[in-house]
Amino acid sequence: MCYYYGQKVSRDEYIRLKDVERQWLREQSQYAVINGFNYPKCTVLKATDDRRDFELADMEWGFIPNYIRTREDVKKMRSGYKDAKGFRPPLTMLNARSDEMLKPGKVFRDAVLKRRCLVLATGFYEWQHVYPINKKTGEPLKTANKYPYSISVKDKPYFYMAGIWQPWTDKETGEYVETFAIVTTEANSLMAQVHNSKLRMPTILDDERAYQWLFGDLSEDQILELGVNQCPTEEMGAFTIPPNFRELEEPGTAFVYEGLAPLVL
Amino acid sequence: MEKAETFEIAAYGLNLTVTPYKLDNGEVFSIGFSDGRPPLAVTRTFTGSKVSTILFWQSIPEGRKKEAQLFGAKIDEYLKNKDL
Repeated sequence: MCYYYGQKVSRDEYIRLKDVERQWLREQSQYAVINGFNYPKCTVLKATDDRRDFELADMEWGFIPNYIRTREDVKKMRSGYKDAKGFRPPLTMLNARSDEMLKPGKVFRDAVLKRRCLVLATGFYEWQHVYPINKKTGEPLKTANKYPYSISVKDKPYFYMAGIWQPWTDKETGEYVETFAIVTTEANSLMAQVHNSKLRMPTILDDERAYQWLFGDLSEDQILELGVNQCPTEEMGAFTIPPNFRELEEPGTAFVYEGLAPLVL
Repeated sequence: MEKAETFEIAAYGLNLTVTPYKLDNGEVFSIGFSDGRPPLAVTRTFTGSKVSTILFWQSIPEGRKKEAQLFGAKIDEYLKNKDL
């Protein structure tokens, strides 16, 4: 007999349920556009306590550090607020920079060392910023036109992004949630053109690296090596999509913007 | 994944919008709620032996087992009455 989330089931039934889970997750991630700025619940793979298997968990995207006391404080952190020292800019904590996350005193450090997870995706979206040229002055305008792109990994219906997670309890209401951030790395040559405002991309892991990230007993150097892993340009694809893609049933439909220079591959 | 026709159930003062999906290895019901809580996906499973089997509902992924059992039972009730 096996235990499926605390319920005793036969081994065959356990395997079947795990299959159902995997397929459901795959199908869901294929169609949904998940907007991080809404801090949605997402399905994330984390290791079981004995680290011999993984389980799927609903986690809130947007890491909440333990020093945040209440939901009200979470809202303030995410939207920015004023205090005696002036305006504190918003901290979304949607992403964790791999090159900084392990530095002493960093808010992500404990999670990186103890609570790594995987975020399953079929693709992701980023905006290219293009500054039109002022015809009179020949200088670029101050406001960029933004063109959305759909980005995926070639020949892979879904892939793993490295994540870290954090349990959090509201000190007043007792609400308990698990939250996560997606680990990012330096943009490869494709992503440097697409996400040209930030020059970053998610850390995408192949199966072997994903297994190591989730289950490996890793040194800090090994964690860092996985965290900065850059999926090669030749393994990725990107194309422009409609400006209102988030409202569409099939958001990943190609859309041509007249006059937009093609990506240089 | 094959999507079947959506149906609606009133339960516990809520309106549930239920869409069944057939997967390779089972069936999942996606439930939308009128009170705005996050949608819930549930599937049937069982425990026990050949002699005694207990059917129950599980959420996918984990974490909402109580809701899965409450609303899953309502799905069973709806489907049973529909077939009568």
